[in-house]
Amino acid sequence: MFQNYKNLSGYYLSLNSVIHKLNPQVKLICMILLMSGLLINYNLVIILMYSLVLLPAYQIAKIPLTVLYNSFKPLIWIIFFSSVAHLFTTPGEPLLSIGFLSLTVEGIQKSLILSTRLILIIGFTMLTSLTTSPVNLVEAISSLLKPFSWLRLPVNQFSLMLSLSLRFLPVIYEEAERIKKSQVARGANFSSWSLKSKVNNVVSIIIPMIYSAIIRADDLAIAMEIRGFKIGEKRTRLKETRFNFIDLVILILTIIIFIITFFL
Amino acid sequence: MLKLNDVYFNYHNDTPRELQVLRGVSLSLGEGEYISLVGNNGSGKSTLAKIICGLLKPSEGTVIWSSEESNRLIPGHRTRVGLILQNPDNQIFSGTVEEDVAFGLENLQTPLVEMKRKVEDTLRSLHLWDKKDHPTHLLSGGEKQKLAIASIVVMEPECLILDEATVSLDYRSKEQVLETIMFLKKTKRVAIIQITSSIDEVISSERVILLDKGKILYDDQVSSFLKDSEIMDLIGFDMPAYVSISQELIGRGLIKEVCYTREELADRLLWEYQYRT
Repeated sequence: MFQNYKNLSGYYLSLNSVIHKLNPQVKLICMILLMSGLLINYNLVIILMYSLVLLPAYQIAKIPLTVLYNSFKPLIWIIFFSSVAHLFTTPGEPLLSIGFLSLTVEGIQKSLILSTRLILIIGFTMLTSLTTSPVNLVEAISSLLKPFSWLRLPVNQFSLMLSLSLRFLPVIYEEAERIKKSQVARGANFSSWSLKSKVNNVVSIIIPMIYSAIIRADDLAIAMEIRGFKIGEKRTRLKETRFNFIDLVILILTIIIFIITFFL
Repeated sequence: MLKLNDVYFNYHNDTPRELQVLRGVSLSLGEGEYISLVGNNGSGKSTLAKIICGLLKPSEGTVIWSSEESNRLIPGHRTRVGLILQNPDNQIFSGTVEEDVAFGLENLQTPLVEMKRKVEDTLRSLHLWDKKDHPTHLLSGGEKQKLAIASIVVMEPECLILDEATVSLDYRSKEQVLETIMFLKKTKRVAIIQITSSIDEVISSERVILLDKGKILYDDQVSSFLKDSEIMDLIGFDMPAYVSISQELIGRGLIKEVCYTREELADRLLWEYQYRT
């Protein structure tokens, strides 16, 4: 049940590359721009242009494409069904007809473009999370959200919640595994296909997990207070993020690609 | 350094005085002192630790740090005392070892240069420097607890409280933590209060305080505690093997003093053998 948690959170691969060293805020803005570009407008030329950005980016980041492929695995069925749906439901010149469904040239084109678009969107998201540590990512999100604190929105609380959630994801995963094993030792059958037993099994894991999460939250609050943490109070930083010339170049190039998208 | 005068505490205001979690606890702690706080479950050990840390306010009595009364710690006092809990996973907030050690200093608004120096010094002294960029969730249990200690030590506390901090650790990890405690005591003169139910840990301390139903029942040197079988029975401690053996040897006239560790017993036997031959 929880084995795909790493795919949900994204792996961070600590490597020494230009993309790893980019300012996390710049990386986040670029990712948002590229994803928005793909969502706003799409055709074969745009898909090709974005592919020509993504593939070299993985090369520069020194991330093997197998890592990207592994991230797609849980989503492969979504991509497959969405492609099949477009393949047979797009109107156009029929190449083949099976009952009320007909395979069209336009359908093949649309299905290819849309599935590649989905792969590209996931690819850009993964590139960001693979090259940015969770802590830096959270800091980038909170700094981008900073303007909202003028509206008295709890930006600090939100970023703290986000950073703790990311930090505790592996711990909670391990705990779920431990609880699952202890329930198996008490006779729970997790391999059963019956819906009733599946629901019972989930409940047998969720309830102990909520209990331990409450205990953990209490300890966490104590530990944070002991270490001088006070929400909303000013803090210094061990690792300040800097905005370099390369960040500026990447940002300008991304903005150009984003603008071009509207004219293709 | 620290003095508790007639401290009472309860989680509910309407609890009668005689049923409170802490009932008239008075104790003092000197610089670099190493105390074991023992007692059965529900005796008030963890509550006492939280009061010393300033996380809870006593309902009666006073907590005095270096003649400065402080019933609730203010930010400046936070560096005075550190608390290490049982589960290290609940005390680590950051992604890497170095970032986690810096967390407390960041909160205290320590300038960057000073922060970097303190983090490096602490990590080097606790042999964690080579793991500074290591993801925290991939550390072993002992390393995580060592990191939790490092994260407190970097704030230069005068007193460190370990609340059953080694209970979930294996033998090697326990040794690592105990070595760290001894190092801090010797080099930085940090006072240590360890809440424990392990006789092996009690032996390594200097003084034992036994808490029973919220009251201090015993407060004396470890050597006296180990001789007191009545008190040991009360909390279900077995006499340590080396103490039992040395008492047997005293009974047979082979040695004259009780030994608390393997090394002490070996040295004593060697000395007696050389003296007699």
